[in-house]
Amino acid sequence: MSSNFQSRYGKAVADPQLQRNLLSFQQGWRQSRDERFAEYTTPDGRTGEDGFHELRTRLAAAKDGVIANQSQFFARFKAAAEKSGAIVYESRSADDAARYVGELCERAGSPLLVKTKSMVSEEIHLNHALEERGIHAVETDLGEWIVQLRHETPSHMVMPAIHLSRRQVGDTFSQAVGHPVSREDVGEQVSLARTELRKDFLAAKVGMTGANALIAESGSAMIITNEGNEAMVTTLPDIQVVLVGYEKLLATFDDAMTQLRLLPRSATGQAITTYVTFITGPDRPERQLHYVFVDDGRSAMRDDPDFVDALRCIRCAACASVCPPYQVVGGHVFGHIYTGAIGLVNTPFHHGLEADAGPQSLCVSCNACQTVCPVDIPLPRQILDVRGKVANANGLSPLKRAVLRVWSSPYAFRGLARVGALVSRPFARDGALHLPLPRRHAWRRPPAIALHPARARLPRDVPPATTGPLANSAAKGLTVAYFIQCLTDQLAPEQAEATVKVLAACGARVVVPRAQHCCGLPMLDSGDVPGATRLAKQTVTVLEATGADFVVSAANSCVAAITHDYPHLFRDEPEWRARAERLAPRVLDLATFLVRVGKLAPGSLASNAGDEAVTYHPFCQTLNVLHADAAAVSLLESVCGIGLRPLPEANVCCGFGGSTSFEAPEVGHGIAERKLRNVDATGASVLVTDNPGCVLHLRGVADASGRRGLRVRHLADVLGDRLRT
Amino acid sequence: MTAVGAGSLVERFRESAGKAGASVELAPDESAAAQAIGRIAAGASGIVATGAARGFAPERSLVGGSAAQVADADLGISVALLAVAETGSVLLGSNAIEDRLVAMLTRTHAVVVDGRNLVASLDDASPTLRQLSTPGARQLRYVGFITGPSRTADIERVLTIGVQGPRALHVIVISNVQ
Repeated sequence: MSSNFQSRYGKAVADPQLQRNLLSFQQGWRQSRDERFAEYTTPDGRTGEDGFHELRTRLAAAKDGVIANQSQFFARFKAAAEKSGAIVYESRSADDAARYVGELCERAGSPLLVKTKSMVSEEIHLNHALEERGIHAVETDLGEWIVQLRHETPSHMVMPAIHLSRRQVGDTFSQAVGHPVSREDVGEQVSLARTELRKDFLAAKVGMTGANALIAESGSAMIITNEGNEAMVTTLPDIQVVLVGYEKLLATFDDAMTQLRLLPRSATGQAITTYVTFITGPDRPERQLHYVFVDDGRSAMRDDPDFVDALRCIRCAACASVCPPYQVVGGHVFGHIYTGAIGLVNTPFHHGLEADAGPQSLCVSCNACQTVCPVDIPLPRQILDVRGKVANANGLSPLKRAVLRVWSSPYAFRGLARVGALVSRPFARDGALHLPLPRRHAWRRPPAIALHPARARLPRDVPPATTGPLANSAAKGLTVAYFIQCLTDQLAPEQAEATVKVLAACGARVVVPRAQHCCGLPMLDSGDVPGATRLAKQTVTVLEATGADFVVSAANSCVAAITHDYPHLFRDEPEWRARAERLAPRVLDLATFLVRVGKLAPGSLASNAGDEAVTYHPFCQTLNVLHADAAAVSLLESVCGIGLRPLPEANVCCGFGGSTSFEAPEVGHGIAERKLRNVDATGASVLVTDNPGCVLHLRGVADASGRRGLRVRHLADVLGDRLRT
Repeated sequence: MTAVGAGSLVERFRESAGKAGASVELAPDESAAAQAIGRIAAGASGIVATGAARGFAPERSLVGGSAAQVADADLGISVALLAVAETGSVLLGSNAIEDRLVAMLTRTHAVVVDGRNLVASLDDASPTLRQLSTPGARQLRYVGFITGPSRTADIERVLTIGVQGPRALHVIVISNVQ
């Protein structure tokens, strides 16, 4: 991890204004985006997230079709564009593309080039290359112009200056024009762009745009904008350049309309942008239109089955707008040139693995990015693939290697836990360790290590209950294997006891296989793919051997790992992959098991006691991968009769993120505070969640921050309590 | 989306265009449309129009002006090829740069569209886009949807109307549906 990254990181986390700007942006974006999709109805009557899913399935398929046959579609585009008088140039490298554009400007006698926003031009450092030839490229998109004046790169693919406050913009403008510009009046700041940039529009002889899509059937470029600068750039100069990556190709206008429904809604929360322009060739013989195609690593992406899907990207930046770590550190840290989750995935191909080593380490694997991606790119999984490559190339730190080695061995892990429990006993109080911690980590009180772990407390075989409120559930007579989870075993054994009690109460026989250990997620999270794979195989073997009807866990992170990560881990080992896929349908999180299999009756766990205000935070994998949040809510509200207070930003991660909250503690802390401030706003005294990691993390932060009136509990704890009579 | 009838199509267009910040007026025929334009043009000092819009524009309008002449004229007048109810967009297209200048450099932009060219959705506009882009005598090399006035939210996500393009958009739909 470069010291350059460390210093950018340090600067960002020490900037509360940045975090405030980005929080406000993310909240506004989310609301607008959701509203726009709610307002749109598909031809078959689907709306909201349902409609979004229908649209994105269609666009993803359209893009995959072109990616798989790129040379064909490129040839079609080229032929059609050339028929309309355009010149199509396939650049051989980033430098070659810059050379081509530079020579065009030189031949036109134009030391000035006006540009609309183009991420590809940032990718190939075009402006810099042109400056070296004495050509000044002027950014005309307002946000791009602002960052250009500040000698910064855009921090967001769609809102380049969103990391700045109006005061910072006012100061930048004042410096640029040499007279005071308002620090408060955004309207005045925008008017400045109109007057200043107008001169450049009229003077330039070469204009350059990107393209949001290239339509192969007609050889047309589709360019979507709001400000009106695109019309200036494509109309006033006689020479037009469209700089574009091959991945922008689409087959037909119908596909372009699908993209048009998804891109503005996902990017800016608009139903459509003000201007959507289709350019097909120069509009007069004496004018020129040049398409300059850029590869710059895209072929390598296409050839890599793990990353080819990332070529679907339509540069909407939703993956940054939704990302919790991005809100804490901003785009100059969470990415390289491309920011947000897609930046973590494509940077190795465009700029090298080393440029991505730091940024990718900040991903907390909450999966929010994929939930809003309009082409359903498997970004979370790809980021972990990148992490594996980084670990492979750079090695893990000695400390991490040591920790993972101990963790991988059941005996070493449990042995060390025993020692740790005894040694830390004097500091343990109420389930937490009261220890002085380094300042960077003092925001979260660690949990105490249990003197008696779960596996010491639980019998191997728990008989089904024959009486009680749940004894005749639909799970009666089933055998359920309970997967404890390494962390639950040592740090929260009471959750394990509660889970087993609830399962047995449903009339199921519960077996607790002794050979179980860790599902391998911590290794995967650290980039130790071989280590994760070894533990995955061990886990599959142990769970298969139980012969149980179902495997149930209250550690939803493990359930997600087993059911969703294992097939990818085993992608080169067909036999193991088949075994994992056979096992997966039987592996359920506690809530899904109780609701779908047990079919617990409404009110069956209702209680008279207590009027505590309760709110529920869905663990991100529960929400985004397992889709088990509805089951959890049903258990709490319908079965237990608890009136839940709605939690604002429920769909935002708690910030635990495995190793991220240890290695980038400011990110873990920032996201946790965001979550707990939302909890504070509900007035709830009990926060229920459904993953041990979230419980321990949020409990630790609540403790350390003096939130005495808040108890953080696992769903299993709540259900277990209801059986206590 | 099903088109229930031209009446509701116009209403849907009016609603979508309104949400995007455009003002929409219905005119029963061409001369009423010209009158509507006349009212918008009242007090405007520089008025420019495309060739196709000549019939709707006040007599003092300049047609075919250069960029320098058109820049920051108070009012530009164009005719749209079609309009889309789903998004409240009008589709303009031309090979003549002079026409594009009218839509892009003026402070207020007024667009006349025939109500018979109003379609329900973007999908319905797709065949027209395809046709217009196909090489041949009727090809339009530059075609675009315009939805509302120019805008930006690049600074703190604060919406500002009127950036490089017009800061007001008026759409006059010629339709004798009430």
